Amino acid sequence: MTSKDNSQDEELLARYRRASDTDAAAPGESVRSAILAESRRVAEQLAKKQHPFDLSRPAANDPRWKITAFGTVGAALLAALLIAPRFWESQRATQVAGVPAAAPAAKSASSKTAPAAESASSDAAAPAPAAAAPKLEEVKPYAALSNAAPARQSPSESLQEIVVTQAERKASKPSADALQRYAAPAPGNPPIAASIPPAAPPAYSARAAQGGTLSMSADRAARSGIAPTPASLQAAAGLGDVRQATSLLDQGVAVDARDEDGRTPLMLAVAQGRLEVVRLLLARGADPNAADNSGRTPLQQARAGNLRDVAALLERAGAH
Amino acid sequence: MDLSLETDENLMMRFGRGEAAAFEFLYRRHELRVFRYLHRSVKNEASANDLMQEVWFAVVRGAANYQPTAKFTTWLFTIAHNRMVDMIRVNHRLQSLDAGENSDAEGSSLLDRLVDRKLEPFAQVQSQDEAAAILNAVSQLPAEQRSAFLLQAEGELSVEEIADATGSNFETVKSRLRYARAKLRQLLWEYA
Repeated sequence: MTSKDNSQDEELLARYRRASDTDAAAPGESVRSAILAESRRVAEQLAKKQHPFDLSRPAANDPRWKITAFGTVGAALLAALLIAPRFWESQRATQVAGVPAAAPAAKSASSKTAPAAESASSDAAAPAPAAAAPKLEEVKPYAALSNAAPARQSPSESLQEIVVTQAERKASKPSADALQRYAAPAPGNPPIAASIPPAAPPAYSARAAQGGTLSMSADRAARSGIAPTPASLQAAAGLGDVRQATSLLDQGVAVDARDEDGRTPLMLAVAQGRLEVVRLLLARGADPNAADNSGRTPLQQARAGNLRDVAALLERAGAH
Repeated sequence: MDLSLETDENLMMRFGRGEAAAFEFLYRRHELRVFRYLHRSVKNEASANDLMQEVWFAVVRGAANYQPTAKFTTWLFTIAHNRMVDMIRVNHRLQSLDAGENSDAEGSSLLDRLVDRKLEPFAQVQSQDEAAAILNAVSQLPAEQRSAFLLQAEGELSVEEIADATGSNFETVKSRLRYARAKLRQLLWEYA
C-alpha cells in the first residue's frame, strides 16, 4: 500500500465522519434512561461488593457500643455513689445500736437534739426521767438539726442528731388521722376522748410508735432486728412491722415491756391501728387489759380511735 | 478529579468500584459512535435502539470482571458487533436489505433524495447530499465489508482490533477494508 493510497483512505474516512456527524440519528431517550438506570443499580451493587461489611451494623463495626458501655458503667457508678452513704449509715447505726445508752443519754441533756441511741437504750434500762426525754415539739427537722450542729465530735454523737426519715414522715399522716379520730367520736358512741386524761409528754419510743419522729438509727436498728430490745419491739409495733415484731419476740423480747409512760407494745400498735401486729401480740400473750401510766387501756384507745376491728379483736382476747 | 481527563479504561475501572458517575461519563463519550455503528449495520432505528440497550447492559454487567487488557473501545465494539450479528442472524435479515428502511421521517429514501437533488439549489444541497450519498454508499456495502469499515470509521479500531472484534483473520479484515473503500469510491465518484 502506497502513501497515496493511505492518504486517500484517510480522506475517505474523514469524509465519512463528516457525513456521519450530520446525521441526527441518536438512541431514544427511553433507551438512554434505561441504560443509565441500570448502571446506577449495578454501581450500587458494586459499591456494596467493595464494602462487604455493613458499616451500619452496630454490633460489628459501629463504635456506638462503646458509648453505650461507658454510659452504663457511668450510671452504675453514679447509682453506687448515691446508695453507698445509706449502707454506710446503716452500718454505723448497727454499731451504735449496741453502744450503752448512758453516754448519749447524758449528752442529751445539754443538747437540743434527741439522741438516736436513746430509744434503743431507754427501754433496755429503767425508764429514763421524763425531763431527759425530749418533748415532741423539741424534735427538729433534719435541715434545722444540720444547721444547729455545726461540729460533730464522734460518729455516735453525730448519730444522736435526730433525722426525720421519709418513713417517719409517711407515718406521721396516719398518726394525725388517729388523733383526729380521738377528738371526733364515732357516730352513736359517747365522746370518750374527753374523759381520757391527757397523756404525759411522750417519750421517744412512744413518739416512734405513734408514727411521729423516730431516729434513723433506732428505726433501722428496729428494722434490722439486731437490737432485740423492748424499744425495738415498741417501734416495730407502732410501725406495723409484723415481720420485725415476730423476730424480736422470737429473740425473747418481753411482749408486755413498757416504756417510760407505761405503754406496752400492744397499746402502741392499737394507737396506730396496726391490726396485724395487735393480732400477733395477743397471740403471743400480750395483756389486753394492761393500762398505761394514765390508766388508759388498749380497748379504750381502740374505741376512742373508732378502730372497730381492733376493738373487736381485743374484746375477743378478753379485753374489757 | 475531572472525569473528562480520565481514560476509558480508568472510567470503567472506577465504575467497577461502584462509581455510577464514571459510567455515565463513559456512556456519553461513546454513545453516538456505538449507536451509529449499530444503526448503519442493521439499517433500522428500532433494532438499533434494542441493540444499543443490549450492548450497554452487557457493558454494565461486565464491569465487575472488566480488566483493561485491551482498549475499552475494542471491547465495546466487539460486544456491539457480536450483538448485531446475533440479531441479524435471528431476523434473517443479513441479506435482505430493504431500501425502504433507509427512509427518513418524510418517507423519502436517501437515494430518492439524491435523485431529487436537481430540484433544489445546488449550493444549498451539495453538502447535505454528499453526506446522504456517503451514508447511502456505506449502506450498500456487503455486510462484512460494511461492518469492518464502520468499526474502523466509528470505533476507530485498527485492523488488528477489527480482526479481534469480528473473530476474523487479519488479512481477511485487511482485504474487506480494501474492497469496502474501493466500492465507496466507486459509488461516490461524482462527489470526488
